[in-house]
Amino acid sequence: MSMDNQKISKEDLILYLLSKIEPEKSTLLRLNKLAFFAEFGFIYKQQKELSDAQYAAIDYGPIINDYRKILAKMEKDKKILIDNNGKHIRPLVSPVFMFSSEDKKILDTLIEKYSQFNNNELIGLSHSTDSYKITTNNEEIMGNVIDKDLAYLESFFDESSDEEIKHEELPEIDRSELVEYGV
Amino acid sequence: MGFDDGPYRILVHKKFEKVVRKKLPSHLVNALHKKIEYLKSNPKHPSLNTKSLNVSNAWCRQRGIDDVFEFRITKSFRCIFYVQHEQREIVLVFVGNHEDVRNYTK
Repeated sequence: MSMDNQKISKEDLILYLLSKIEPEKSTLLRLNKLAFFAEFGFIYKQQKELSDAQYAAIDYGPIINDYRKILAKMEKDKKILIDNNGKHIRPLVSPVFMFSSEDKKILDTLIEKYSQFNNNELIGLSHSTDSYKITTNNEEIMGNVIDKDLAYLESFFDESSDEEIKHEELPEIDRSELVEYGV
Repeated sequence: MGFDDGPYRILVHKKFEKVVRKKLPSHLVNALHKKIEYLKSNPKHPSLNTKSLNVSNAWCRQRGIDDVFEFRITKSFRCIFYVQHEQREIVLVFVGNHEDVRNYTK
C-alpha cells in the first residue's frame, strides 16, 4: 500500500515502530510515546496524517487509543510477540505499506530523534505538549481522544531558526485602521 | 505589567488580515486562529508560550501601549501583539517570519 493517498493502518505503524526500537527497550511505554511523537510530528511537518491510529490523553500522557486491544489482536494474529509479563513487544512480521522517500525520511528522523530520550524524558516531553495539555485541560480531565489537528500547535517540531525581533523592526499602528477580530 | 485574568478584546490591523492570508500556509492559518481564541480568553494560556519582547517603556508610551508580546505559530512564524492592560485590549500587529517583519516595516 502506498502512503500517497491514504494513511497507514495503526497495526502497520506499530510494526514499523517496533522494527526501529532496540529489542531491549521495546516496551509498551516506549511504543506508545514514539507512536505519539511520530504521528504528531509527521502531521506537523507533512500536513497529513501518518496513520489511522487515534491517541488518548491519560495520566501517563498520550497513548495509542485502545492500544491493549490492538496489541492483543496483533498477538492473536501472530504479528507480534508479547513477553516478559506483557512488558516487551517484538514484531513477528513486517509492515505491508510503502512510504514515499520524503515521508520515510521525515518519519525515520522523528523516530531516531525521540528514540534518543529515555522513558522518563519521553513522559516529561509528552506531558508538556499542547495537544496533551489542551485535551486534559492542564491534566484535570483524563481519557479523552486527542484531536489530531492540535498537532499543528506543536511548534517544538519546527527546527528552523529562532531570531529575536528588535524594536526598530516592530510595526507602527494606525488606530483608525483597527478592526475587532472575529466580528 | 502582567496580564489580568479574564478576556481581552482583540483588535487587528487591516494589514494583519492581509498578511495572514498571503504569508501563512493554510494549515498554519487554522493553528493561528485557534491560538488567537486562546489569547482572547486567556493571554497566559499554556499553549501560547507568550513571550515579552524587549522594548523600552519610552517606546511603548510613545505608542500608547503598555507591553509588546509575541506567541509562536511555529518556531519561524510568530504573531506580535501590543497590549493596553487598562482597556483590556490586545492589538495583533503582525504575523509572519522575521524576514516578513523587516519587509513590513520598510
